[in-house]
Amino acid sequence: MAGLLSIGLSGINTSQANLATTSHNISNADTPGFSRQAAIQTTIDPIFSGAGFFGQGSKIDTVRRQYDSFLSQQVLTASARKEEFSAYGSQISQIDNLLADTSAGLSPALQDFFKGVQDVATNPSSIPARQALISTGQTLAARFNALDTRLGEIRDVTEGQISSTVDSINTFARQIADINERIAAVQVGGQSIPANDLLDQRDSLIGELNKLVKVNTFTESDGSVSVSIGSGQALVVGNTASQLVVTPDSSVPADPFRSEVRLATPGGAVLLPDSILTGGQLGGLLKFRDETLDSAREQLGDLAIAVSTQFNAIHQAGYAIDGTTTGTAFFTDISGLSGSAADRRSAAGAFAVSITDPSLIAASGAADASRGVTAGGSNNENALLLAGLQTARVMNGGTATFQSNYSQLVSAVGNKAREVQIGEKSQEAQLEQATNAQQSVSGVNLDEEAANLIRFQQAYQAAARVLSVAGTLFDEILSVSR
Amino acid sequence: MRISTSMIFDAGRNTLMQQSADMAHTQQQLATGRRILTPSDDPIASARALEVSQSKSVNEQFQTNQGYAKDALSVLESSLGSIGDTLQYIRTRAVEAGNGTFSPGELQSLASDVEAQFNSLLATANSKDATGEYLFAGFQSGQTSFSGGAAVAGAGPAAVVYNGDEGSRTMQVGPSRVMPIAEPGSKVFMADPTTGQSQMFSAISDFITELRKAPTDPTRNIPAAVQSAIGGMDAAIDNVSTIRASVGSRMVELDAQVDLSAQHDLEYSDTLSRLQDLDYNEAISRFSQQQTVLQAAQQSYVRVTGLSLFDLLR
Repeated sequence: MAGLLSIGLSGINTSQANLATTSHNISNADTPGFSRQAAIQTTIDPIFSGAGFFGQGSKIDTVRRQYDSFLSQQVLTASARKEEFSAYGSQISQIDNLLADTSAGLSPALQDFFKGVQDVATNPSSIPARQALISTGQTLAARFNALDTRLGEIRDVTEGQISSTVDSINTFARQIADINERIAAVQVGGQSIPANDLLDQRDSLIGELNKLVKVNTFTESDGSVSVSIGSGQALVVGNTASQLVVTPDSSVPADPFRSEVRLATPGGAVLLPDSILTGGQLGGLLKFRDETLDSAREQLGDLAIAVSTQFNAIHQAGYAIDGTTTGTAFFTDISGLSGSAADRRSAAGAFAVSITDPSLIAASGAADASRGVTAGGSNNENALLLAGLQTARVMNGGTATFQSNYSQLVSAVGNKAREVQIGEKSQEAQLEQATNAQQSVSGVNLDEEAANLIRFQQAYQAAARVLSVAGTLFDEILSVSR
Repeated sequence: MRISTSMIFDAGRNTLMQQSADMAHTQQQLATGRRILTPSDDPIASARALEVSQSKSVNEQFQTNQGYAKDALSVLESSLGSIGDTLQYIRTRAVEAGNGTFSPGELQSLASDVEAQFNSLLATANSKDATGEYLFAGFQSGQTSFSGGAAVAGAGPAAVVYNGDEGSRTMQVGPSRVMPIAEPGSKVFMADPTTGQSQMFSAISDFITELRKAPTDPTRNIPAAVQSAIGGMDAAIDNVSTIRASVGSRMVELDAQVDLSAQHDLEYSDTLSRLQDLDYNEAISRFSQQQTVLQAAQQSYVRVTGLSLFDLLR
């Protein structure tokens, strides 16, 4: 009877433990990163008697979370890629909208400017037509400058986001180091008795960090997790976290706004090149900056340089309305900015009209005695040459007009934006699949828990019944002796 | 496969959001009438549209220039017509003077008549176009085309000298057509290339001088003067007619260019529309399909998430 009582009691205890675990699962059904737990129930070691082994009831071995590190790793991989595309996509969509906009894009201003040139060619001695050409030139300059300003703002926002993402990475790294220390402290029984909820919290933090930059993890023998980024640079080892710092890019002193990411080590800050910081929001931002934003600004700068230089070359060879003044530049000379990439990025901002006197517009060709032609007045020969620039293939080694060069830029950005959108969608689908696979193991199903609740309640009731039977049996014995 | 409760909620929510995003995109297309909302929707078509819109804009400029050219050529053509008429009139008067029945008094009044024609011709030679530019000054349209021609007592007017140059203003009226829309005065009024004196005006002036000579003047020879005046006028009329014919053929050519440009404009508009514009039939049917799908997703979401075993535990 003593055995019966203790067996019944063990049943009550295990059922209570099971009910507690089930309730814990129900309470945490919506907790992010929570893995459902199960109390692992086994038999108590039996007692040997001459007749054989008699069971002694049940006990709870341990509480284990339902977790598959392989599936979790898949979620991390898909999530890093998805976040990279997502950060890239939200930046590039701003440029995508900007460049081809019918009111903000460059195309309408370029077309209007050449309409102004044609008007001067048609009415070469008309001062209002000449003044209008200067105005359309200034509109073109304002559009170049405005695009440059807007791209500069996008650059500033991107640099700001790079900096704040690095701050968040540092925060997560410290939190992971802290939780590593706590796990090592509480898992006194070794890894076979896991601190489930702390492990979930740590996985959740690693998942958040991984959204910012792709990480690789390695579980150490003491249960702590080491986190590395890039090509293996350690961010967290045990309970210590290294810090990332953002510094001005030393390789481009001409561009003080440009930043680079470094890893602070005792020996000094080590540069992490953009090419190795892949995945996550940081990877997406760096990729956007290096692949799209830079080349868009450079191409726009190239176009600004080409328009001003080509137009000036013809304009300076022509003659003003007085027939004698020559060599006047129409646009500010920015041909010196065609050298370095940083200079090319600044060219669109430097594009400006330098001519102010409409009578100095060189619409006239040179005097030619053999044809009896004099310069100035309504001589429009040079204006016709200037107008011809609109459709002349003077860019990309004589294969593209100004307009088609700009169209190439629009198309390149549009294609990239599309590629990123498609990439984001496909990574979203992969992430969903990976998350579903992981959730099908670790996620809480409330119906299942409800069923378990009934099951363990009944087990509890049955175990209580055993106690009551044991009590009845004891009464029987007492009544015999009475 | 084991399904967790959050999967049911998340999957349902994701589908709803995706459907709403698709619907919002279609709605944007319907509201703007544009198939391409951003270049990434169709990068190739957007780049192409930019190039076609430049071609369209250039073509529009040609159409504007054609209008200017047409106006300028019409003015030139009517001026040439009036010059031809005046020359013809002077020739008729010269023929009349040659029949020998005119008294000296009548010859004097004929001289006054021809001088009036001379002045009207000079006024035409110095006429301006609508923008105040001298028509017959070549590229030097800011200054008077011809100077001289002042009246001289007892003789024909003084020599008329060309002040302009040989340039003729041109306009681009087609992708590869730059059309002259003016003729230099030196060509129309036959200026001597070295002295700049107009031979047309000298012929008339010489005739007037001869008519005004006193009958007692031994050098006076009316029949010879009449012959030389008729010869001079014939040469001038030939010259003006040739130029007028060339201007006329340019106007015909311009009409063809106008038709061609209008045709191109239509084609460019068609291409742009095909590249950018929305097919409303397709978009509306897509929209109603998306609406149906979204409604189904919403209703099924409510049903599926409404099921719980806990509801049945009493």
